[in-house]
Amino acid sequence: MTATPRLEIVALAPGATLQDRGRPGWQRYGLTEGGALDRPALAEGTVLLSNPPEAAALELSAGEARLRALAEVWIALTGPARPLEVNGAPRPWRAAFPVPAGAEVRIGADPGGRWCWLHMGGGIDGPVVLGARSTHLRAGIGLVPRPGLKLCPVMPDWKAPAAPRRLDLPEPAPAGVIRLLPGAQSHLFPAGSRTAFLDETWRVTAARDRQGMRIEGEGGPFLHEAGLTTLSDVILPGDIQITGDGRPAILLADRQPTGGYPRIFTVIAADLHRLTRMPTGHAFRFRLVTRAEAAAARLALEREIAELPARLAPLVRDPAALSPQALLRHNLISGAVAGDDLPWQEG
Amino acid sequence: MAGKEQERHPWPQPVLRLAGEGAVHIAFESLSPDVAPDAVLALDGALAAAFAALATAEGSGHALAPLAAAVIEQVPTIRALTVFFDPGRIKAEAALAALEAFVAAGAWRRTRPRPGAEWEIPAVYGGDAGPDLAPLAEMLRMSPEEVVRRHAAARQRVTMLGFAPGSAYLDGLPALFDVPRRRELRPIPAGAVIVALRQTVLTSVPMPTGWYHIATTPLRLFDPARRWPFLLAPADRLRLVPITPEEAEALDPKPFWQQAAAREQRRAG
Repeated sequence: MTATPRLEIVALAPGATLQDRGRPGWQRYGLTEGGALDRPALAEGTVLLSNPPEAAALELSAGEARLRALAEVWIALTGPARPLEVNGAPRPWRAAFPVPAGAEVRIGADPGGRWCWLHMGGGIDGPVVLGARSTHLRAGIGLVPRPGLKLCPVMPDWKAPAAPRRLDLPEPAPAGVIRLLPGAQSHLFPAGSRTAFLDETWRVTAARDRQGMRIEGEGGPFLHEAGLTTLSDVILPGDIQITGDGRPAILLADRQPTGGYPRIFTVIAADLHRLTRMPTGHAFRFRLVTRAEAAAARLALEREIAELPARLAPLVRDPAALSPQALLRHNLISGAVAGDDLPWQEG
Repeated sequence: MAGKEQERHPWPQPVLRLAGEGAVHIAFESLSPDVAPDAVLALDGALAAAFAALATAEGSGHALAPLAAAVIEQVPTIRALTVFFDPGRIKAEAALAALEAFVAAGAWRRTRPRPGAEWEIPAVYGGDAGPDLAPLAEMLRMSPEEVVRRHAAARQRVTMLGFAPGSAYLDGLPALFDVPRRRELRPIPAGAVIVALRQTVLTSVPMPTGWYHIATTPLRLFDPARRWPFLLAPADRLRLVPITPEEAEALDPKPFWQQAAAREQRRAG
């Protein structure tokens, strides 16, 4: 690698990885596709910085992270909004801007337990395995972010945008409904169990990582007919696995490729990021949809991503010069909030 | 298992189901786990051959033609073959229909699994490399040497890769190895050779297990630093070859990885 490092990790919570669009096509060999848990958030960073679509970003877990710019570097943060500061001054979320050499970037913790993505102009480099830079911690693939690690751009000759910019998008409220399709094992569950599952109100628990998210029903543990152990079978992204403890797990990009616990339904692809964006404790319901609805949702999401460049807008207001009231409000709400309260969207 | 294979030839019709947005799950629900992998791997091989033929020959009009351009991969497991496709390139109903037509046409039902690579996988049995060899031998009321002899004599076959990248599930053990898993889970290293339920698993990552850890291979089953990082593939056949810890220390993995790469070139070409 001839590129000079631009950012050094100073402090970081466990569970951070480097993620791009992942490497589908190797589940036959026991490797699940990986990739950023929030595809739109990955795409937003790519568009903000004019990075190539295959660029990788740092996927940060919910804890605070601090990095130091080793040279001037352009960054953008995407995903559920959190406090973001450069040398102690608030900077806008979901925006691309330069950070001067020597400055410290602080990304506050998310009390909602969610991930966010730090993008760097020119993409963040790491070993390419089977065509992707995505880290897979359990398999020992890729870059493992840790304090002291220096991040190099893939493209040393990357050209910065003419001026700082943001994406003119509404900050969506956490989803109330997650859409499902039947999976290969839905029929193993009695009709009563399936109905009870769909009638339940669910909450996101704090137990989440790149393998999956545990949810729990408001009505207590979700129990089903005994004897539902199956032979080891393939696991799809979004499969909802029912284990003996009554807390289902929704399996994500770094799930095991196969497993013997039965899966009741599968979350549609277009709702996986709506799921991972939910803060811990958030209540939601599931809804079974038709294949036509799932396909329409997938196309709509693809269209939203394709139209992101049209949403680019200049970053006119310097958030460092915001009113004290706005700053105070920003600090008080610390992250897990509706985006219309965020100071850089004022005015 | 040859006897059983013949009993069930031709293979029964499997059940096809759409799973999620981008997969067709083809399950041999009527077959026991002893027999099902033969049917799964026969279908896997026949389907791969059909897709390969479509890629070279004039394939229009073939039932699989609309699916060929959209297929991502085929994933065999113990009793099912799952075909992943890109739902942006073919409607799920069309993918299901294409596979239903292929399965119903039935030529594949008289085929055997296409043979994969043949391996001799070195492994150190017993001692620190196989702490459960002695307890297993005691349970089976035979000497540890006899357990090793019988385990290493079996010609085993990779039915699926699962749990973690490169971890291989093997069938082909004699019935005496149909032992239950143990209740307590204990940590094992990558490369552990573990046995239970008449299966061997060659593990690629450290993990806790209730299976009997009887040996360890110095080979890595998954090595992300290699261009082709997976040592074994579904349908490969292998014997384990007992070696000493000193031989394990001195083992050169290069020829093994050359064989893995050669197998993939054959499959791709």
